[in-house]
This record gives sequence, structure tokens and C-alpha cells, in this order.
Amino acid sequence: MKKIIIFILSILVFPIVLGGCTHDFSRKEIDEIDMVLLLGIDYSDGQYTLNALYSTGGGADPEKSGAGGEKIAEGKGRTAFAALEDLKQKNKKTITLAQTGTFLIGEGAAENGLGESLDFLTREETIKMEGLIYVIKDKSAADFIKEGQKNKQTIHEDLEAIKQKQKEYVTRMDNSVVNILNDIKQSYSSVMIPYLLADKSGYQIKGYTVFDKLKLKDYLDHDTSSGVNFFRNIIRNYPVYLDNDKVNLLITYTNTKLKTKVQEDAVSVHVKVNFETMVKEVLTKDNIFTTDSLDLLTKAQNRYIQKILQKAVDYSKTNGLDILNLARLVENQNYSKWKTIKGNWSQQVTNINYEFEIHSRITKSFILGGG
Amino acid sequence: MEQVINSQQIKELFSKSGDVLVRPIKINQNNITFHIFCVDGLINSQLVDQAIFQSMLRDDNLRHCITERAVMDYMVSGGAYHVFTQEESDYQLLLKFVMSGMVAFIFDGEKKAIIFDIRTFEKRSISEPTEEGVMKGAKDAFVEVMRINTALIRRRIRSEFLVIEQLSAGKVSKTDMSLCYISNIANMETVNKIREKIQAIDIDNISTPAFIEENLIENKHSLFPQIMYSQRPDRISANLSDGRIALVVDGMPFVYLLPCQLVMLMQSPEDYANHFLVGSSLRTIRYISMLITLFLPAFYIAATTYQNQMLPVQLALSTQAAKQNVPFSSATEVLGLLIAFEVLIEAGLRLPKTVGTAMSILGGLVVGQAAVSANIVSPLVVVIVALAGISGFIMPNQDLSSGIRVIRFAFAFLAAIGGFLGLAVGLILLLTHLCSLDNYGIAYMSPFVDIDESNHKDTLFRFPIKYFKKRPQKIVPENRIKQK
Repeated sequence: MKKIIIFILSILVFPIVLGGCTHDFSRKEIDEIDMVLLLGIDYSDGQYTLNALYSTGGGADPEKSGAGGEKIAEGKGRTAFAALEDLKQKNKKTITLAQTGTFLIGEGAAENGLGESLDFLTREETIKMEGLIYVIKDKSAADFIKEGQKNKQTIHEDLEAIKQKQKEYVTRMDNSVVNILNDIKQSYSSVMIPYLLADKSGYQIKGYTVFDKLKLKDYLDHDTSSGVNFFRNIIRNYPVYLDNDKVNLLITYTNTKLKTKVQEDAVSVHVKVNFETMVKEVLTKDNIFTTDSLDLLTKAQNRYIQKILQKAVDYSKTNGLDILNLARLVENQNYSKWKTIKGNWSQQVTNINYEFEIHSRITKSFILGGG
Repeated sequence: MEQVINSQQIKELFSKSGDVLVRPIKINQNNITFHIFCVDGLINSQLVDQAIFQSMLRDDNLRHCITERAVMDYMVSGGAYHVFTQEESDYQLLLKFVMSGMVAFIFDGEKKAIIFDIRTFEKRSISEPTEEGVMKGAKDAFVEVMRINTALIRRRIRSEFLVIEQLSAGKVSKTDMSLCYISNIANMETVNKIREKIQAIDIDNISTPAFIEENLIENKHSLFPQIMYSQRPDRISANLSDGRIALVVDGMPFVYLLPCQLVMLMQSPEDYANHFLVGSSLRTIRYISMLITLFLPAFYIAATTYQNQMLPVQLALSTQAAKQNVPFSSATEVLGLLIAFEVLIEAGLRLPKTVGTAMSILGGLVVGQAAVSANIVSPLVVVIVALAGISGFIMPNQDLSSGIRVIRFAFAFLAAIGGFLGLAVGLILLLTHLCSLDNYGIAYMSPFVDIDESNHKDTLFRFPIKYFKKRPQKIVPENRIKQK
């Protein structure tokens, strides 16, 4: 009997004692919480503004979805954390960031610095690490959200669609909270976050935002951003529009290998890209599936990809920004020499010598005859 | 009272029992009188008349038996034809034999009796197992008569090494039992331990399974069954061949198996009736169901009350929407519905079948739907409790199913107190308890905790039969080879 009493008591006492490990029990019924689905972070006139978008019910129940919708809560403060606290205080229900899938950084906040804008996230234990971070080009996150509401968009669902679309083109999304927070911690390479553009039909990602010392530097165009993706080896699908406009292809497989060398404090990078394409459009009556034609096409598509890669390289060298995330690679592959060159890394970036080796093949044409 | 076989004494002993017959019979050929002692309803009176009395009536040889001793000797040596004929001088044994349905001829002068086994009584015929039915496989199940059950086992194991030891327990009920094992396979230490435990049973009546089970299991406080039962002779015989020991108890339509491990309780005869991949899949589903029934209600409570980040966004949103107008906390909802579910099961068992079905519909569907419509419970909780409930019944062993049903409450309660932390504490305690259980020297979690890989081929997955080369190491330390 004594044993049973001890057993029951231990069951009751264990959680209470161990509960001290977390700062509180955080006991809150799910319907007493406003789950923030999207958080916009803005900075202007010396203060931060956070805009939290949360669902007002309805959820996935189609019968109730009519009644449900999205609501925005706003908080302002001297810092992002102060703004979050203000937001929590103003809101009727408790706010949680545990379900926040998207963080939008307004242009102002991006210019003010990522470190200041996102530091509060690194200390929030419930944050979803796979949540995605985007920069809003040319406007504040608040305006972006409000315009979406004005256009009667279900913003978090549209952003979810963007995420799905992003997955169609890249194999890995480097703009997750955990990745960006890691990138912020290391100081040699530029942080790259995709930027979002909005119009009445919806949202789209055009390219990367480049940060220099965690402050907004530039917005890359689509081709340069694609070049960065090739360097990062995350391309899943990519269209190849050849100059003659007669044959268009789609990359279905890529593999990029980077090998760095440091000789007499000069860095060289050997870029080896292997990719496969499928013919997607043939606008000529000539038979393009002959050996010679295919050989010509292969060479043409190699040149096309090299041009894209070169764009990314040129931007990096011109601006002295390591947008290709080479610092970590050089450090890993040349650890002892890295110590001597890391001090003037931005200078080194402008002088890196790139060698390209591009191999490709055209596969699965489906049409075996002429165009 | 003197413990001597005497008809007068026995007559007085049973003077108030109308079914006990003690009547003098005179042998005309030699004028010797003996008394017939039997229980009406337990004996085959037609056979007594035909096989014994009619042959005695025409038997001229009896004329030469002029003493009781001579008559007894003649009868035992073939004067009264019957397979089981025995002379008995022990008063207590005589009473036991007659009370179990045998016929005794008492010779007062000799203070002895001759016993004839001419038992017959109303019994259920062999039918299909109600709990362990299979589509492909034998359809016979044990009945309430011990001797029929031992015969069903013997029919499947024709080895001369199959031992069926006769035992008895219960001071008043004197219930017959048979301890069955294969002498050249089973671990005799375990056999002796079980025999000792049965002999040590000091209770009046073995009327229900718990009277046996609680005397044989080693950890009486555990909710996990430590003795397995089966209605299927094929299953018992398979386990006997694996070195386990069976206990057949008169009056119980199933046979016990010892030592028992958790893995045995998750196995079903169906696993061995199908292709090994099908059997493995079914078994995997069973293990998943066990996790669902144990943890799903607790997981729901923890996720909706403490750590909602564990839910995917869409599920969190729909859960939130479903719960919005419900006045109770998630824990109250789940625990309340779990109790209601148990009430429904209990009511269904007690009521007649026809009413039971109607009540299930009324209770489960009508009241459930009305409760959801009235916002007393959220639809998701109904789904979760129903899923957990149904998953619980997938367990092949009802004792395990009942145990898990109780533990489910404990987990739900722990989740209500501490969320996933409480759940983790519960899980640690459960695993510690399971790993500490020991069944006749064999770990309850064996073979999961065994090093020998040959033991793992019939656990989570059912390997093809050709891989079942060795018997379980812990159960059969020697003579392990099953097939080459």
C-alpha cells in the first residue's frame, strides 16, 4: 500500500516539480489564444511597429469559414520586443507566435538592420524555426498586409501558396527563421532574404535582398538571384530560354560543386555545374534531335547558365559582398590560410578568381521526331 | 468423525442433499449387499445399468464370490466391465471422485469402495472461438470441461513428451486442473514453480479466473496481464512447442499460458494464417493502435492546453474553431467523454443484446451528435475519443485492452496537469514499470530487451516461418532448435 501511495504521489509531484524547468506552465486553452499566422516588422521614425495577423475562427471548417477571417493587431515600441509587448497588451486574448509561419520585414526595418529587428525572435522559445522570412520591397510590412486585406486576399493562405511555389523551383528554402538567424550570427557573408512584390493578382518572389552588415543594401534581379541559387546548389527547376527563341528547355536536375583554393592570399573558386534539361518548346521545323543539333543545344544551354552564374559573380565582385556564401566554404576547405585572409575578406571577395566547368545533357525529349 | 468408508456415515453426511444417492444393492447370487454412491445428474445412469448391473445380474461367477473381498477382487479384475475401475480406501478421495461425477460401490465390511468413471453431464459442444476468431485456420475452441480441453491439446501434440499433470485446488470446490508441458522442451524449474504456486492456493472456491490468475502472477499490482489465456487449442499447442506451460482449469473455457510476455499479447493467430508481410502489417497496425489508444487523448489535451505549437497550423486553426463555443476545458472534455465511453461499454455488456444495440446507437450516435450540436463537446474530441476507444479494442488480448484503457486515463490526467512534460513523466514511469516486470524469471519486455537476435523474429514484425529456427532463449535455455 505504501508503495502505491508513493507511486501515485510521484506521478502527481513529478510534473509540478519539473514544471519549474520552463518559466511557467503556459497553461492556456487553445481557444483562449490568438495564434499569429503572420508577423510584419516595420521601423520608421525611431520606433518599431509590429503587425500581427491572426485568424478569427472558422479554421478549416468549411461551414464556419465564412464567419472566420483575418484580423490585424498592431503594437508599437522603441524596440521590436517593446512593440511585441505593446501588441500583447493591446490584444484581448493572449498572443502566441508558436504558429507564425511567415515574418515580413518592411523596407524600413531592413534598412535599420536585421540584428535589431529579429533579435527578439532568437529568444522566443515557442517560435517555429521553419517559419519563413521575407523582405517587402519598396513598402512597409503593414502596408503590404493592409493592401492584401483591402484586396480581400486571405494573406496567410496566399503566402502559403508562395511557399509551395518556391518549393517548385528550389530544393531547400534558405530563408527559414533558423537559417536567417544563423546567417545573422556569422559576419563574413551577406545575409540574403527573398523579397516579395505584391499586386492585385497576388504575391511573387522576384529575387534576393542583399544585406551588407545586416542592413539593406540592394535588391537583386531575377537572373542574378538565380545565379546565387545555382551557387547554393538548390535549383530544382529552372527554365532555359535560348537566344534564338526556337528551343526552350527546363532544367530538371542540377549539381553544383565548389572547390576553393587559397594561394598567396589569393582565393580562387572552381565552379563545377552538372545539369540536365528537358526540351519543353520547339518553334522550328528543323529536326533538333540529331546528334549535331543536340550538341549545339547543349553548348548553348551551358553558355546560358554560365551567363547567369557570371551575373552573380559580377555583382559579388563589384560590390565586394559575399553573396555566394563562400566565406564558410573557404574556411572549411582552407582552414589554416583562412586565418590570414579573413581580416580583409570583403577586399578578397572583389579579387576572387572564378573558373567554370559546366556539363549538361538533354534528356527525356518525349518527341523523338522533328519539331 | 472417523474418516472411514462407510455407507451409513456417507448417508448421514448427505442426508439433506436430494441429488446424492446412497442406496443398498443386493447381489442375488451370493446375498452380499453393497451400497451404490453417486450424484444424480453427473453420472450416466443408462451406462451404469447396462455396463455394470445387467452384467452382474447374469454373471454366474459371482455365486462363487462369497465374501465382500472376493466380490471386490472379481469386479476390479473384470467382473464389471469399464475402462476406468479402481479400488479406493481413502475416504476424502472417495468423496472427491463421487462429487466429480464418478460412481462408487461401497463395501462396508471391507471399508473400501470400487470407483467407476461413468461421468456425464450437460456440457457445451465445441464451437468457434468468440474472441480469437480467424478467417483462415482452425475453428475449434476450448469448452468448460477440462478433459475435453486436454484432449484438444493432445490431438494437436502427439508427442510422448507431452505431460498432462493432474492437479486440484480449492478447499470446497476441489477444482481439477491440468498442468501441460512438453517435458523435453519446457524448463522444469518453471514447471516446478508453477506447480508449487498451484498447490499453495489456499482458497475455498476457484469460481472465477481471478482466483487462479492472482495466485499465479508475480506482480499483483500491475495493470498489464502477466498470464495469457487463449480459447484456441492451436495457439496453446504452438506455445507448448515453444517451451511454455499451459494450465487447463475445469470450468473455464480457455487455457492459461505461462510465462507471459507483452509481445505474446500483441500476437494474433491471424498473423500466422496470412502471408508474413500481411501478418507483419497487421501486427504493426496493432502496435500503432496501442500507441493511439494510450496517447491520443493525452496528446490532444497537452497540445490544446499547453503546447499548441505541436499542431500543424491548419489543424491548430480547425481545433481552435471547433472548440470556440465549448464551455469546458480540453481536459474536462476528453476525460468526460472517456468516462462516457466506458459507461457505454459497461451498459452494453449488462443489457440484453437487442437492447444493447439500440442503446449503443442512442448513446453513441444520438447523444454524441446532440452533445456536439449543443456545444457541450467539440467534434474533434468525439473523433479523438472514438478513435482511441476503437484502437483499444484492436488488442488481441482483452486483459491487455482493459489495462490500457485504465492507463489511458492516467496519461490524460498527467497531460492535463503538465502537458507534454506530464506525458513524458507518465511514459518514463510506464516504461520503468514494464521493464521492471518479471514473469517466472523472464523479463516481461523480453524479447525486446534480449540481445540474441534470433528472439526478435516474431516481435514487431512476423518473419517468414523459415527464420523461426530457435525457441525463445529465456524460456527454453536448452533444446532451442525448432527447425534446421
